[in-house]
Order: sequence, then C-alpha cells, then structure tokens
Amino acid sequence: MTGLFDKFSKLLDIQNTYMEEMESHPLNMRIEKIITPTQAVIAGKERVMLGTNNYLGLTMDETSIEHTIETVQNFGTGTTGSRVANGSYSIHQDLERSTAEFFGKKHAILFTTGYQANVGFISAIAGRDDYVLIDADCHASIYDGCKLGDATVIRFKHNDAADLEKRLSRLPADAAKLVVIEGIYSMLGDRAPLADIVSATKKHGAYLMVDEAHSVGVLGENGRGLAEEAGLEDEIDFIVGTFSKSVGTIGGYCVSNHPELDISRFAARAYLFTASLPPAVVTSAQSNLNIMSSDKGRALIKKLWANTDRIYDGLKSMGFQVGPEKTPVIGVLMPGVEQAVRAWQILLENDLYVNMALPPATPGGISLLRCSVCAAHTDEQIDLILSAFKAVSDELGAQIAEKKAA
Amino acid sequence: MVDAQATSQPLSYDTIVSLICTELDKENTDKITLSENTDITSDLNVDSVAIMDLMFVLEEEFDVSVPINDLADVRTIKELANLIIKLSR
Repeated sequence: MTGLFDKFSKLLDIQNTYMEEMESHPLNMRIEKIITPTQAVIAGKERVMLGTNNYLGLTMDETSIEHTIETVQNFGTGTTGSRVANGSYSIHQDLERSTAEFFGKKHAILFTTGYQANVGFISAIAGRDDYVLIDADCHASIYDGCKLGDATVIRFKHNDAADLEKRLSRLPADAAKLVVIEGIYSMLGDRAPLADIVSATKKHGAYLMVDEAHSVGVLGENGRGLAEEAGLEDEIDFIVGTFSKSVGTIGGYCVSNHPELDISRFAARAYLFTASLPPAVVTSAQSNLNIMSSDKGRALIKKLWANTDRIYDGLKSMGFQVGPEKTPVIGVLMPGVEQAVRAWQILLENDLYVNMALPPATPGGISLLRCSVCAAHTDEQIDLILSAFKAVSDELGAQIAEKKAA
Repeated sequence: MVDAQATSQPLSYDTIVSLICTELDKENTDKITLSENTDITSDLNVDSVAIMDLMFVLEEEFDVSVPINDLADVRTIKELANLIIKLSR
C-alpha cells in the first residue's frame, strides 16, 4: 500500500546522506539570541549573519522598537480578524496610505505576508479568460498565485524579453494579459531587464506587475526598487512587495495607480480569509518605512552598496563563482549539494551564517550559498566574512575550480 | 491557447514522441528505455522544475507555448505529445 510520506523519499535521502551526522545543519538552525541585525548567537557562539535579507539593518532600530511597544500597549497583541471584519484598524489604513506614498502611487492594499500578497493578488486579478506570463525564475508565491487562479499561465525564459514577446504574440490580441517579473531575483541577485520587458509588454497591451521584494530599500536612490532605478515607475501597473526584508518586519502589499485596485480586496481570498497584521507589526513597518523615506534611509542604501562592493568583489577575486550582477543578493555557486553542505559547515565553523539553497528551490538545479549583505555590516565583520570564505576556498578550492572549468 | 503562427506542416505524432524522447533522454540518468507510456515524473525521477525547463526546448521546436496549467495533468510522454498536437492546431 502506498504511504502518504512515500513521495518524500528523495528529500529524505538528501537529508540522511548529507545532514544527519552534522552537529548543526542548515535545515535545523536555531538562533538563540539576536545581538545586532548582523550578529547572533548560534550553537552557543556569536556569529556574523550574512543570510538575513535584512538589507538596511532596520530590525533593531530603537525608535521603531519604542513605537512598536507603545502600539502593543494601546492596541493589544493581535487583531483576531480579517480586514473585512474586525481587523481593519486606523493604523492599517495609515500604513496603506504611507506605502502608496512611498512609491508615489495612489492606492495600496496590505496583505498579511508578501507570500499572501502574490497569491492573493494574482489569483484575484487574473480570471478564466485571462493570461498570466511569468518569468521562469519567479518566486514560489507567484507560481502558487497562478495555481490558485483560473487564468492560463505561461512561463517565459528567465530575463528574456524576446521570448516574452514571442509568447505574447501567440496569444489572442483582445485577451487581458498580465506579465509578472521580479526586481531582483532572490537566488542569484540578478535584475530584470526592465526597459526591454516594458517595451514587449506595452507592445501587446499587457499589464506589468513587478515583485520588488528584494529590490525595495536596495535599488534606486530612494529605495523604491528596480522601477525607480530604471526610471520606469510610470510604466508599471502593479508593484507587489514585502515588509519582511528591507523594512525589517513582516507583511505584504500591492500598490498601483489603477483606480479599481481596491475592488480586488473582495476577490483576493488570501486577503479576505486570514487575520490582518498584528498592531505591533503594523507600527514596526510604518516606523521603518518612515526611516526609509528620510535622509537616514538614503544613507543606509549607500552604505549597503559600499558593503556589497567589498563582499562581491572579495568573493570574486578569491575565485568563487557568483551571480552575474553585483547586488546585495549574492549567490555563490557550489558544484553540488555535497560541497554546498560542506562549505556551509566551514563557514559556520568560522562564525559566519549564510543561507543554503538547494534544488528544486534554485533555478537550473544549482546548489548555492546564498548571501545577503546588510548596511549594518561593519568593516571588521566583512573581514571575518571574507576570511571565512577563504577557509572554504582553501578546503574546496580545487572542486570549485573544477566546476568553473566544466 | 492558440498558436497564432501555426505551422503549415503539422508534425506527426511519431515525430513529436521521438523529439520528446530525445530531449528527455538528457535527464535519463538511470538509462531506462523510453516509450510513449513512460511516466515522466515517476519513471524518470525528474522534478517539476526540470520538466518545465525541458518544455522550453520543446516549445521552441514546435513553436507553441504550453501553459503550465495544462502541464500539471501530463504524466506520460504520450499525454505530452497529444497536448503539443492540440496546442499546435
């Protein structure tokens, strides 16, 4: 008889082969204490954190923490209700307004997570007779939004505007079409070629949605993401994002100038049938968004890029194969799962934490050490980061070089 | 889903099966014999992402876009060939 867990046999093999014997392994991480946004205690020892998505280091801002405490005292620990029932507080509506203002858009809808923003909005906006065209490397939440909706879903080659255009031209001219891309792709840190995608999209009268989850607080002088950096903000129909990275808390949103955006609240099941963000989180997001809109925020972005320069260039000069573009999302390619796990271990032994990303969560079946740079990394921490990677290079250098030659 | 640039010379079922087998053979690490009844996921042990990537090659070959909603129902090489024929019409 078939067992329910039989389908996981391949995953179990990986876990048993590579990780069972390890004292600490990437799938069984326990962070015991957070000291600063870039420093934490793991397995009893202080480590430098290079895998947090906390690009601006705002998770421990003292003013935000004070405001958050005050909100908990005034509004309690949770809303216990959906936005369409008892879960819509004044602070939720204020945050929606501030989020729209941050992007210079007229409308915003908050979701409880970034994942739910994609799942909720895509499944609601694209109906039975519509088409959604997604970049092959889009995040799982975009795929899941497509799966939950009724539209016909077509996948185009990653960052290939010509392939997108070919696929758009195969579709009925009068059908509604939505193109979905990301500002920065979360595994290899590469940007979308926005100008080319915009031109293909407009040529066929399609709508364009950009998930700026990893690019807000990172790209553009004001941190509004790839659309700002590329000077194409007016060409984007919908920006979806999250408060869980640069904004330092959790929560998702969709912003747009389309006056009808609000009506999708009543069609997005991930908005309707879940409790709204807890008050504490709303205030953390609001407070950090205020910082991001100030000179302090713009200075943090500059620091983030200075740190990125040092880390990306340092890794590259040591012979590591890194993502194709220099951004604070740095994917370090490993030849296989075994080497990725070993490298991850060496880094931890050298007091450095990074994320490990393995197939099928990665594009093209690659194994990655996924690093995310933070504005709060100090020069000394970057020294430690580079010396930890040097230890990986010393032990696995030949294998990494072999991969490059292959 | 209709292909607006439908080819004037539709490929035969056998040709399509043979092209699919050629592409799938690249993922055939256990070197099993491929036939129209081969279950792409379970017999070949290929994950869903690898199948979607494989589709890019076949889509190019047949000048169609295969919606991922349709792909979810495909188990065998025969079903994939029939789907491509349907979309190419």
